[in-house]
Amino acid sequence: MRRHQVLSTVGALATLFVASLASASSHREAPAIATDPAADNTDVWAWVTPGTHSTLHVVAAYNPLEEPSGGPNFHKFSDDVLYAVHIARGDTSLADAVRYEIRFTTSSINYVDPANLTAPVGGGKEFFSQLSGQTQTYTVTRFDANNTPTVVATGVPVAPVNIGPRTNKVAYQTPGGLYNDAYAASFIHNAGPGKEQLWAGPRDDGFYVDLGGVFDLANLRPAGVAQDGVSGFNCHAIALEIPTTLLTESGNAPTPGASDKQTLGVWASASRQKVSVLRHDGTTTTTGPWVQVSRLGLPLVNEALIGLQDKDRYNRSSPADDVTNFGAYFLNPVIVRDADAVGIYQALGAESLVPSLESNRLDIIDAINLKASGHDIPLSATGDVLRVDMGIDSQFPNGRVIGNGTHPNRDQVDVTDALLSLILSKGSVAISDNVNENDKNYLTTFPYLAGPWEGYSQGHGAVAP
Amino acid sequence: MRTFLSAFFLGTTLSIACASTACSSTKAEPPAQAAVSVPAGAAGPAAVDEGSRTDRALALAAVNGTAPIDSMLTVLQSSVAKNPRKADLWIGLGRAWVRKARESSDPGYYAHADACARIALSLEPANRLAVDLQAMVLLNDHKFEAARSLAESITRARPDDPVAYGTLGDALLELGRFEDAVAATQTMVDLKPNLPSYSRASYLAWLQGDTVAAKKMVRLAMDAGGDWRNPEPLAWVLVQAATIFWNEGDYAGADAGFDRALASVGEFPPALVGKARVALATGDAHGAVSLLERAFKASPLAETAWLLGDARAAAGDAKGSEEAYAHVLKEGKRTDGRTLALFLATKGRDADLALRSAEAELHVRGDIYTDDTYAWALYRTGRLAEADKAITHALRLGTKDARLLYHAGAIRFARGNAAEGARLVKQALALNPHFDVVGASEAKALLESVSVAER
Amino acid sequence: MRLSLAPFAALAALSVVLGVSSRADAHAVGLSRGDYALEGDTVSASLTFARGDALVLAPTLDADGDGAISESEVLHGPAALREGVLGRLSVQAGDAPCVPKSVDASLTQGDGITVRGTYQCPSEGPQAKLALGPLFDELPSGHRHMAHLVAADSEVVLFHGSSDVSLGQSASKALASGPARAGALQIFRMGVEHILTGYDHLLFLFGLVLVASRWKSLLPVVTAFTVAHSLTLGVAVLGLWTPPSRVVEPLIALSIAYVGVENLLLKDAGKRWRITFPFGLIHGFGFASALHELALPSRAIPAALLSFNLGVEAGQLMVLALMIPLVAAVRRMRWLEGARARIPSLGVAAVGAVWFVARIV
Repeated sequence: MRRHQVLSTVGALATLFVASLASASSHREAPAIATDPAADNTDVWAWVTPGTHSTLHVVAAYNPLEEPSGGPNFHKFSDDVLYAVHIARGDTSLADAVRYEIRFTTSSINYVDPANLTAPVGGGKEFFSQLSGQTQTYTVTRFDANNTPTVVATGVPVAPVNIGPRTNKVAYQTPGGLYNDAYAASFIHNAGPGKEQLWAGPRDDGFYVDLGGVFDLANLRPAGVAQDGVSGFNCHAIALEIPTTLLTESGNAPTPGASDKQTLGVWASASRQKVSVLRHDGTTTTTGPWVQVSRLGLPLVNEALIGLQDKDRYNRSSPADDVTNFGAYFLNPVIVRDADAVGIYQALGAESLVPSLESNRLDIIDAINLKASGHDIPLSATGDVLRVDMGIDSQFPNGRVIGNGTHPNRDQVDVTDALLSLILSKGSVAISDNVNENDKNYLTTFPYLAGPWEGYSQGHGAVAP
Repeated sequence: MRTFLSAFFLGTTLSIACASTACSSTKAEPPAQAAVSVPAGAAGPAAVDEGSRTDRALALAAVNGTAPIDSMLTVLQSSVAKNPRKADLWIGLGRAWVRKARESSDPGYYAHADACARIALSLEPANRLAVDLQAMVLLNDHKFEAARSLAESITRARPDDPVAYGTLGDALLELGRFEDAVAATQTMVDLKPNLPSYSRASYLAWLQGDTVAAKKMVRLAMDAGGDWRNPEPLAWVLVQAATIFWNEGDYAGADAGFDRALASVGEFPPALVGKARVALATGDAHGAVSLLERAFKASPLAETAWLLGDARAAAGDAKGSEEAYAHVLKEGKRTDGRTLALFLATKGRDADLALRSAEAELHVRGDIYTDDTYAWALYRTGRLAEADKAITHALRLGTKDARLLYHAGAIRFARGNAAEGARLVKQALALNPHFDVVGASEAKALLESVSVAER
Repeated sequence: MRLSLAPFAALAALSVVLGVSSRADAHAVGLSRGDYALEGDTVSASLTFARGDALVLAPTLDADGDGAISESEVLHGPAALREGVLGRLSVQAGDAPCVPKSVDASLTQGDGITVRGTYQCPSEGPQAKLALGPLFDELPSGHRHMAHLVAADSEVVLFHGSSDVSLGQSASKALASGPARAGALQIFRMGVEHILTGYDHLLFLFGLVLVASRWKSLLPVVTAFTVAHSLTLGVAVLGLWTPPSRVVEPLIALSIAYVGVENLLLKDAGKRWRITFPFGLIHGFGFASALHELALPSRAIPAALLSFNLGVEAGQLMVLALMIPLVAAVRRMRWLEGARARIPSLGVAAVGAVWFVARIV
């Protein structure tokens, strides 16, 4: 035997991995990583009516990049998800001062409620036919600071998906066969005088951003080239209009003027139930407590600040623990280093700024805590929430307004630009993704987000499968 | 003292000799790669350079195709090329390769995913998500013990990583450690109720014979799918749900489910195979043949070839049937010993090879289907007492699977317990009368012989 | 009376690292590699497979049916491999097929087998097209082949569905049977590893250290050895003269036996350099084969030689740093006094003798 082995090319093989045993088992491995669109928060808007500050308008959107022409299982809210809008108040705590929980129910002719343990869960054909769903309604329950529930409304119809003209005529029987703003508005529900207004259904996704540019490591493109990556997509939104008298500590209207005590912290979440894996004897329920699987307060925090390894933890945790869990990400924003690595600062001739931008970014904390408008919120009440001061008019980062901007109702404060400038340059350089307006006009009235794109004529064609 | 020195001497020589001749015990699986602090790429001096070039070539391999996953891969590849030192980007790319592997039914793409994981680890040696990926790749490659060990090391370091618990649960299940698999899966669901965790919970419930809970949980899984840019997970759980109905003999229901899966992902092989089983069960042999030919083209598995052979035989194409069966032998010998063993035992061919293959499988996995295969191979070679023991072990969870019940019935019958045997066989046929072409006819024949004997 | 186990542990740890690293050559069923070069009208291909995959392609290679490929089966393998591997790789220049000419194979470390072949094209052209489809049809599904195109110095991943690649002329670059871009650091590490895995050299050193365990007396001895083996390493690698290994290897064994015997008779360790110099010359030829396998182009050799030699020296120093204190400690413990002092040297001599016999047989 030759003592000197050949340490040659096959060193390469040495590092190569073994693949290719065709998955030989009849039980191929279940998917390991999958998105959950129906429970995926995309955006939260919250602001008070200008001038009067009489109402807090909240819109929570779910189901990102919803393809209008998506069938056969059309996007909708999930019956198995607990949607919630959380409202904290003041500068001492981020606990829910008020919380709205929204549950959806789909009714169909042969529907068998899986929670009904005595009824068999239907034959196979019925099991699968229920997927298309018929009419969906929702219940809104309000919880106060002591977690005491009050049902605000129940059995409220959800605005249906905008499929196409035939559906409008035959299934929905919309006036004039049109799916328009008036039709959508017919689904607004008023809970009563001095009470909330509610709406839920599909909307145009009101965000606008050069997704490709921003998430390609801030590879921002110039105006005219940058594309709105969210253009032409829908979402599903829950919209609430809440009289601010229901949100102040005293129960009176908010006093005019900036004040920490009247500053709310708004965020939205989605939760799914645990299940019990071990066999039970058939009498105990399979489904268990709710586990939060998604949340959102400020725009782009999860996308731009939280590291990949901590996104799950972010989604299941509460803003009250953000400083402990994720303070490092806020103070040392990774995208500064990414932008540096890609050469953005070099291109701007601003490399010398990088050290001061990479770390110790208390200015980011100050910005989200509205320091600029005279607020002084301590770290103990700091977290990823959208701060809305009920005493003054809202303007991002104090609240986030839909519409009322310069391009006729197609923008407000461009949060993408605002955040990029803040994080990448402390606001000293106006950084823009050069996508400055939405692809549709917002509405000037509730529910504010523009109507949904129609599946039949406005789908993405080649893009959609 | 002389003993010490000679021991030292010997020890040194041996350990050095061992290193130089690359001695490796072929039985045990290689140590989990990430457990060594040396990055997996450093197999030798000249090899490091080669290894990383290979990894990059795999990670950045050109993609052809127009599905959303293909454009996503291209976008991720260009991002990574711009900032190659950012481990998260390589992880994202690696995950996309896993999706590509699943959607295209080409497991070779797992090599690309693994290359990404290695690159990420070379940038950040403690990157947990990269190790998650590697464990996933090991699992797909049927290196169950290595996957288990790697996944467990992740959960020890971070007890809140749902993906790691998923891999851990899968590996434990394959290794036959059911209770441990349940615990891992429960933790996964508790951390993150979503399609991956609901799907696993549903399967574990089904294995325990609780079809009601299994259906509820798979419904939750289906509800949590539906991303048009990533349709394969939904297709997968639809097949899972449809299979529950298949196993209870609800052929129309199963078919509806398989159709739904195909609407999500066209030509999805598991759905085509499921539909083909239904077609065979309902007497449409020609339909089954064409479905299976499509499935085999997309994903040439031994099991698919077996069904294709059955379908062709049922359609009167004896020659085509034997060709397909030859594929079963070829693929089975190379990559799927368990299917080979079960095939041979089911058809009553080459009982010795069946037994040897089944025994070899027992070395690396211990789930109930491996027990069942072993039991049936033993049965065919006449070792009934051992067969009985194995099939009892296979049925220990209470799984309502017609094939397992039929095997148990036949074995007990052969051991002289006619009443028990007949009862089990009846149960099997009541559950799913057409569970397998050969098995179902043997089962019927057995019952007939019992009733003849009774007359 | 505690003997420090640290050196032992360190050595053991070192070998574990090396052992693990070789074990980390996972059995790469499913991944293969090829180096392809077009020079003039000849295409040379060097494909490396996991042995399991090779058996799928050329089942008759396994003459004794044991599921493994032995050295002798490889020697008799070319015909089967020509058919099974080269026959499934079609090469075309222009529109004309290139014909497989020569084929040979060798086993590689870590469960691999390399098949080298040349294809003769009818005429010289700017490029050749390789089609590996039939290879993928035969191999288990999902197989990936890393095609390294020497001329372009690029890697292309081939698989079922994307199994063709074009090859351009690589006039100046020879197809290396080894890694073509082994950098200086890699070669240095090769040198280190070579010494650490060369147990005959290590035994030789151990024999030297046994009687001269102080650095001062050891220094000339080891330096002479080093200078000598560097000389002959250079001679061999530069291709000036390479004595056949069936001569060199037994001589190395003899040198070990000699050292063991001389230890028992030695008076003056300091003069030992006179014998270690000639022995060093012999050992140097032994090192050369490793560098040879890299098949480096001649202009790269001096640099490689330097790196390799430095690696060998570094390895040597490492080993001596462990051995010397150990031996000195043992000596202090006085375990090996009187008659017993001869035992280690006897051992060295005995092993050397045994190896000598084994290597001539």
